[in-house]
Amino acid sequence: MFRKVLVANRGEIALRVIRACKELDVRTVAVYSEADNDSMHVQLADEAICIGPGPSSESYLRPNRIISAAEIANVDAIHPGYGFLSENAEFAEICASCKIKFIGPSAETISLMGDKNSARATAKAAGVPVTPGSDGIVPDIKAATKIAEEFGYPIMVKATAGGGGKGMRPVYNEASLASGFQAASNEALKAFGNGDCYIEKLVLDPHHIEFQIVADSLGNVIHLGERDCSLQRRNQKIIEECPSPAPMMTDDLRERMGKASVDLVKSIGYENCGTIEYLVDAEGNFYFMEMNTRIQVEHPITEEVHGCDLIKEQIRIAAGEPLSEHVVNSSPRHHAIECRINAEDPYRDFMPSPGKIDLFYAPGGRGVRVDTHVLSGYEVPPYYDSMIAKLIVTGATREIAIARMRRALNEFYIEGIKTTIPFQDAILQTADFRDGKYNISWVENYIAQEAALAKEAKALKKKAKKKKSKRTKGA
Amino acid sequence: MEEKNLTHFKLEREGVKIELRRGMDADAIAAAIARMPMPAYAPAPVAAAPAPAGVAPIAGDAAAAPVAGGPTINCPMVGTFYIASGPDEPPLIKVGDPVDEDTTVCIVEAMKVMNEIKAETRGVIKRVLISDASPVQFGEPLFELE
Repeated sequence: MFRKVLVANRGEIALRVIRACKELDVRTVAVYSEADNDSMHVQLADEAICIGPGPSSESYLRPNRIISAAEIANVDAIHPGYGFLSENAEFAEICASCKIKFIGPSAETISLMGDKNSARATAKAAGVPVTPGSDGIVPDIKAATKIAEEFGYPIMVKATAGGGGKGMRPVYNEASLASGFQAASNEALKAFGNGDCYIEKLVLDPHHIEFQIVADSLGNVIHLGERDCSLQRRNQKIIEECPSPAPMMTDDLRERMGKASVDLVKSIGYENCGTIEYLVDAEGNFYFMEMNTRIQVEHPITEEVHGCDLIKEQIRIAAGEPLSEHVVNSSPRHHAIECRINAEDPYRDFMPSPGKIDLFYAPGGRGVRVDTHVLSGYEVPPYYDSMIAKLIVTGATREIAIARMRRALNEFYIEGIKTTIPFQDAILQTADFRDGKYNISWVENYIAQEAALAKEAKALKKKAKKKKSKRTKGA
Repeated sequence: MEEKNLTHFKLEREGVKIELRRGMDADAIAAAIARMPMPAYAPAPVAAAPAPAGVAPIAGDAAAAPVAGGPTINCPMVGTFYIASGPDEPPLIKVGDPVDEDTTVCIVEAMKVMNEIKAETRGVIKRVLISDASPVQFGEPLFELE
């Protein structure tokens, strides 16, 4: 086991890693920016080293400063957390060359699965279904028609040089293929100087379902089931569940997806924890989307359902130990839900709300877990992402978990800044959520719906006011 | 009160003064917290030498880090501080020396690279704050100026 580990991160995940290290009797070194001077992860680490000013680009994203800190503190390993340098192959490479163990997979693996194209090819080679796509550029409408017929509509015409949503057109039937193809191509030519396009099958209103895998350095690979992360706003997850409540998520589908995930991981000799993300349509067809070669934000819901500590497992694996027996033999029990509490105002288009938190009282009681670095008096810095806490709730059944989450959200007192708590509480009360009937588009649709209702209510109010003043005038 | 979610009701007499409040009494809670002992907000120091096994966590080594009163030259990186450019070389700077923007005041070794640290200010060295071959972090005061 390592003697000392440096945590190359901040906020709740840095605290999470420090907690795991303490339980393993490993000394901890925190690195921090000047904006995080008073942060909990700095307080609770055994040693702390300042690595730069507030902005991430000048501190947490500086591999050289982090490695220097690791050297002067004489650590054995570095845990990169999530985000920042956790999927930076170069950083993993530097660690290796400095004889510091990077707690995660190898630099080669990070590179391989980090590139969308090579990841897709790797998945395909391992027999994992990927969204059907044309083999390269589609030269003309004739070829496009043939391919679209093969995949079946709807399809997506995508410019190979495209990015940021440009050069993409969904096509729902043969009649609109010609115009869609032309439009995508022209847009790409104008924006990127290259109008070449390829075609991909469009998965309509998919569910985002991801599988947790764990692999040690001795060839043992297992999966720990799925997490449903379909509730997203602008591609940011806000509520996650384990297991998935989606109607098409049968035991059979779970088994097939689990096997595909393990096969993929085995084929690349992956080591440590990782997550495979899939898109699943209403019929239960699943398609590989991407692989995250690190621990995920929502890992706690898997921990609660499987009775394990994934961060400790990461550290054990990196130290050369085999997978823990209780992890290998675990079977899922109960239902867990996580709400990411962000410092944002849900009634002002989720505008960030940094500033001083005057009062911070986190909920407690049976089946309630709060992962946070925040306390009363804490000043939320403006430099980093807006997540200030993770509220994880576990219940014997999904109904119990939902009631418990509602209870916990309403017991969570955060004064001084705005948070997403009322928004998440509202979602939990909708019929769709209770029935487990939501997909990737659900949150955006809900927001649009609520905005339309609010507008209508405002108009009605105005009308009523006008009517009233007319009446009093006439009296 | 329950109907309107009120949690607090006060009433004074004579001139009458009514006070109604809804929801959690945030002011009272905030006042209670202000009276609680706050955790000590002193960042844990950098280890100067590896601690022997079984020893309690390193206490603040106040003796090793003298507090500077005047202007200081602070470290722009993380690494090991050296006052000379080599083991047999004379110190790059000493107390009483004048410095300008381009004066090399010390070396900070980071990842096997010896970085020359410039003063980037004008002044006269009053005190050397770090002992030779000690670890330094970003922003740490290295020299005090007159």
